[in-house]
Amino acid sequence: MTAAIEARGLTKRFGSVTAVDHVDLTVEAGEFFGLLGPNGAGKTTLVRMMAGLMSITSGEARVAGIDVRSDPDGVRAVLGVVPQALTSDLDLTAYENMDIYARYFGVPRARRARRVEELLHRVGLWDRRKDLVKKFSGGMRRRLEIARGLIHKPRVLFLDEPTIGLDPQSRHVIWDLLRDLRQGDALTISLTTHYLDEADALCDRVAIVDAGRIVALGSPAELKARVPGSDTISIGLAEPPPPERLAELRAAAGVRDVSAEDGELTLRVDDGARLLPRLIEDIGATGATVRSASVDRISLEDVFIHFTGKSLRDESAPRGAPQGRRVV
Amino acid sequence: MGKVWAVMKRDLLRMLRNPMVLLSAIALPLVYLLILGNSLQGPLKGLSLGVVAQDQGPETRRLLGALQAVEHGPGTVKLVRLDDVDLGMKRLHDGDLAGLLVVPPRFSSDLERGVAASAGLFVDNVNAVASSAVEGAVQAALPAIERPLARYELHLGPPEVRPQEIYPRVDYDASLIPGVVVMSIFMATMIAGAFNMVMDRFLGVHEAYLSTPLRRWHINVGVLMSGTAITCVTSAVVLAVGLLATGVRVHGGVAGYALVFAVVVLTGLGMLAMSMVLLGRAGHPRVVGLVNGFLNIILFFPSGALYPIESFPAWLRAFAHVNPEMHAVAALKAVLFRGGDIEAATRHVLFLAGFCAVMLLVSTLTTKRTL
Repeated sequence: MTAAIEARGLTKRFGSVTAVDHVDLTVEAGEFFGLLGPNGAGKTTLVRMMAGLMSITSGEARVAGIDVRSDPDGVRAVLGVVPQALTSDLDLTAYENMDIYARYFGVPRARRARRVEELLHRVGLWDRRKDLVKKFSGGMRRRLEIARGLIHKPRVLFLDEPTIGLDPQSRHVIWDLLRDLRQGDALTISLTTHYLDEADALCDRVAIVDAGRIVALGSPAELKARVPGSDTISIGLAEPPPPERLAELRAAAGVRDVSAEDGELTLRVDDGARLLPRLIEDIGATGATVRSASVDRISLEDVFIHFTGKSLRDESAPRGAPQGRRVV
Repeated sequence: MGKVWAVMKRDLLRMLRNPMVLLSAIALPLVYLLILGNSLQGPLKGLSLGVVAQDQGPETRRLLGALQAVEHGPGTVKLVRLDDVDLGMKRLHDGDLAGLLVVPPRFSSDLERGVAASAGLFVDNVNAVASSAVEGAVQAALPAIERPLARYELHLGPPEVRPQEIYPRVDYDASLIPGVVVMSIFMATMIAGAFNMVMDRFLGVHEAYLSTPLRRWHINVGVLMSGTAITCVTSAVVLAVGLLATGVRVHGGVAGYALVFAVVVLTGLGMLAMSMVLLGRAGHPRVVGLVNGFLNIILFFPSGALYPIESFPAWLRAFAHVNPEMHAVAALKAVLFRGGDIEAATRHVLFLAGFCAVMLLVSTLTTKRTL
């Protein structure tokens, strides 16, 4: 089966600056793939090269088996792109925006109106089809642009930071829409984001991009599992544990470190959710009383820090967007 | 052509949804017509000429009578009677007067006695055009005096030359119509074509349509066609208003109208394509505004719309001959004022067609298809 997206040694240089540095990548058909990295990591440049919007300095890129360099028009015909900037025309209605792009893609007249209607229904904008886009909120514009990116039934959809600048509610609407698209169509989705929770919630696999290179690749769970001792278990005891008990815990399988302050035990472990019941059982067997217990699970933020040595949190994260550890 | 039409439709809809911009493209050239028509009129009028008559004799009365005839006829001067030379000189220096004529005592009696007499004409020669006009008006009044003056000698009986105009008289206001129509074409090119492309780039909107299978020529031709359609509408309105206001009509019947249409379409398309070549890759709309403002001046003034290009220095004349606006103005003049001189107009239209073809080709080749 032909891969939906393939890159081999893909490189882009702007003068002396290397924006994308020998990237090798394969995204299978039907996959929901995430490119995760901070602003300036090279994600957008990578996508733009894939979409034939930017010349390739060296290397190869294929979309749906079509070579980007030799047949850019062929690639654009099977590719839907939703750029990071809001690109719908403000002075046109939602319907006109859709209709004109359908014409750009050569969608036959007989299918055009039906396709526009179907997609506007799907993104919940059919009732607003006659409104000028200038009256739309950012979230509505983004939904329209996602619909527009699907007007020609592409095989691959590139979404470049689709929720940037949106409020948490709008972000979740977009997420639901993307999950729905993924289920409804034989569509490969490549999502570029610097929101960790977004990648975690939506993507089958994630590539962490830093300084133009892919530094880690795998499913969110695989990536998390590659970071040793990154779950934190907190256990509240009625009495402070004796020192020999701490030594026993430190030696237990899966435990990386143990510290105690009064009756509060803190353990760095590999797989906290699985280890917690056994630890409670073991502590209970020594006669100690367990008053509380929680697992602070590793997030992609921790994964990112592990692989790049720096944090991905930045000023552009939307207010209320959870990005740190998740307590279960 | 479906994709070209889609590009054109998008561009047109965006411009039509901003009617103030379109109205400006129509109104501004008409304001130019109004301003130019009233500020750069051919013969100067109403120049204040102070007159201090220290002599009340018959020759002085004849001279003043002749000057009054100029005042009430061509209106070149407006006479201001003064009693005091010093006051007249002060007003001349203050800029209140364009000239001061002083008729000294015994002016008439000296002339009657056959003695050479002189009158003083002081002119504000800072404004060369106005001072020449005042001198001309006084010269025109001198024949009223039957005796020679010392300063302005009267030569009676030279052969008279009566100019014969070969075309119906063209008022100054009417003569501006071709220039104003061409200006309206240029102004429409300023709000369409390259401006829209650069605005798309500036806003990042272009990334979306560059991600579609549109080809370079689809984008270029679609944008140019929408700009040309806008150009046709705005210049047709400006032309119609100009014709109605001045009473000029299009000569040459259907051929005349066809030539006017060809001039508008070819000039509009050619200018839009030229703008695309020069500015299509600009990164900021301000650059387009700045350069277009500059182009408007350097193309309009050597177009022959205001001044005959024959009086230009050789280098500027050479530039004028390759200036599309010059050919557009000349073709419109031929159709509007030269009784529908189709042959003369056709020559200029052929130049415009060639210019248009070259610019269309170059703009298509240079349109940027990537970000």
